[in-house]
Amino acid sequence: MQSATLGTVTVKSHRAPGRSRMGGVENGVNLGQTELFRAACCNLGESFVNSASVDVNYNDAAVGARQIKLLGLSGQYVQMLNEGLPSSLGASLPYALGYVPGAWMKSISVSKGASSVKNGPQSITGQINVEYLKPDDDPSVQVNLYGDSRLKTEANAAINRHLGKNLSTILLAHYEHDFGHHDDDGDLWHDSPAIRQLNLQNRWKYAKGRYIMHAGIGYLQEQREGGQMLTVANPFRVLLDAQRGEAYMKHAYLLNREHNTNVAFLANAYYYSLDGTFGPKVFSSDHLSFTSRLVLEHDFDEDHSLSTGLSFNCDRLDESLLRTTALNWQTRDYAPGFYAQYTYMPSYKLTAMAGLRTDYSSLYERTFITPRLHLKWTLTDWMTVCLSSGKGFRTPFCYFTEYHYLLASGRQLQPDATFEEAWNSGISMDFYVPLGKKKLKLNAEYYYTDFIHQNVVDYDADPTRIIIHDLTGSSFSHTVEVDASYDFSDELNILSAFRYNYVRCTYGGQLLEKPLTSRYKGLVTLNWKPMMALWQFDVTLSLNGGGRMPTPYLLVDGTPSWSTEFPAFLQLSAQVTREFRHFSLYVGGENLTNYRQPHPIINAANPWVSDFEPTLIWGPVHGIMAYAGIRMNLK
Amino acid sequence: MKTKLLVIFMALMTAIGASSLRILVVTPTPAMHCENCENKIKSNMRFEKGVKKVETSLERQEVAITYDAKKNNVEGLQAAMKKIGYDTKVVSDTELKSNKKAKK
Repeated sequence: MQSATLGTVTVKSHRAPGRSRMGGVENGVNLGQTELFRAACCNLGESFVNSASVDVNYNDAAVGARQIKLLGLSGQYVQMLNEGLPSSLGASLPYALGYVPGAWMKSISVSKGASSVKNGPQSITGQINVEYLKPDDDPSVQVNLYGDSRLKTEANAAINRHLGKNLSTILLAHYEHDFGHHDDDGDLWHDSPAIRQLNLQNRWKYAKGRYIMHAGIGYLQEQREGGQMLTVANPFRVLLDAQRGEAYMKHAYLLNREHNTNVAFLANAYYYSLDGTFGPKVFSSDHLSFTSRLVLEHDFDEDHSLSTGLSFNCDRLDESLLRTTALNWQTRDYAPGFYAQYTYMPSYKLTAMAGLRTDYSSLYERTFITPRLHLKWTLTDWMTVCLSSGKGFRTPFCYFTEYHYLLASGRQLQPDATFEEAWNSGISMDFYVPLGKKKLKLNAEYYYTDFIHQNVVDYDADPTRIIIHDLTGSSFSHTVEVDASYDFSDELNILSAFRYNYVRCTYGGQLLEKPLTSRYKGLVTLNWKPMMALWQFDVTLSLNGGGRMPTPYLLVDGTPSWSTEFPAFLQLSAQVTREFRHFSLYVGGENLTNYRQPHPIINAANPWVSDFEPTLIWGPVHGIMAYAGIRMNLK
Repeated sequence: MKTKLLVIFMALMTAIGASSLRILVVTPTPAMHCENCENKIKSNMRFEKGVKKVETSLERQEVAITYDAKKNNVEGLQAAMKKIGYDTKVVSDTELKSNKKAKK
């Protein structure tokens, strides 16, 4: 089967549905449904359980914020895309991983390092693109029901229909309800907020002759309820109410088949509103965002091709914060842009891609130039080298919005966000080593990210404040990763990986290790699919390295507020799946080592003072969790 | 008496040793074009009664189905292929020499 995605690089064919290296010139992996179904995978955030490259932060105890980490750096430096269009910005950033239900996803592409300039300048450490189930897939009704020992329940449905020869549609629905109010560590706080979410999408595809159109609408509503237990007198409550409405369209027309000349127009608009209560603070954010792109692509001949385009983004954000007094901010950003990307492929062994884009931000009154270069060289049948280097920019257009979850802290939040700018360079090498009847797949990579401007979240400077300010000094990350995967038979695969992070940033004039960041991660996954894959057993063991805590301060009794370091810890998860013709059953467990971060909330008994701190999370706040579910496919 | 016992013993051994596993090789129409076609056949045929193994070859345009003849037959397997959109032409249907090979 061949498929094409509008506005992105032409997509692969002849690819297995599981994990595979990305096609094209970028370094990364594709995770198909086979890979995603190896764990509970309730949403995008839980899709990376078996991944060595992508870390997902543990749920924040107060608001349940969960963000990706790539190359040892925070999630905002990863460009998140839904089928090539931007998916999470502003206030939705800490929760966006929970807004993509696992049962809706067809595949995820994770590319590391500088990405193509086509999708904007935002990608600094990498890009994650989610492909949903398609309207033109074979008609089916897919239903997924899930429940776990923490009383979280979830229902998903995906129904697609072909309306004639050219038109098809899919309805995606998701509802989750967390009935649990758990307090495993007995500190009279919810370990994480109870979430209720309704998420709906209707997507359409029309294809006739040389014309293809994708369009759709979506609606999301979510409530989060956390904080102190209601049994406590005058409880500190954390309540969040979010709503999102979105619409998108993509049109593509093939002008010349011989030269693959095509023109495409892509646009999406969304509205996101968030109302939050963090004990005594009340915050609200209303964000209207519009993105559009006009793209022209042309192959001059077999060796040379060009992609070029214009873009226009518009963001309107209204924020308000009520503490002792009410404060309001209004931010408007209008950003026109232009890009050109040239690809040279003299043979299947060598691909070079050079891209340049320029974007203007009305908010910062500044033009950003983004150059990027990629090189892929297949030296032999068993060795491929990828090199990439490029710049990335982010232009946060907010005062509190991106960091609002830090309002749960007793400290005073003092944000002064500016644009962020960094260089990223890397090399990756893939080896396919014959070993026995199979090939050992080895991958080794190194990435370096160097910030010129960065919004530094500084816990170290002042124990009564969290200060967000532009970088003064240097900030960089070095990451080295090695992974090996081997099929011991057609039924058994073992993958092992190790990554070392060296992440430093300047705090108060001192170059310090970035806090709450593990120094290393080790991972072993086992996947056994006996009896024609009617059964599937998956086990994942991960070792998360220790790291630095923000500088502790001395309490009144002379003891430090917390340790200077957090320790390494092991985590184990396992799942058994049984496939039947029209459905599959799965049962599993997470955090089977039952490791929990001790005292995740600092001064939990006294949340109304400045040394109350629920945001310093480095490990799991939940103990063992068991789950079960059923996936049904009714034709 | 000894001879009778020996005959009964031999008959029993023959019955136990007789393989009910067979390999059916068919050519599908329409042809398999890619890995997705192969996966469609494999992922559906594995649920058919008595099927122990399904192998496909794009190059030879053949599907080899190892099955238990006590639980299914050629017509049943051809009907199952038809159900997922493939007409089939039988290339061969032979007894499997060693059961061990098919126990996967």
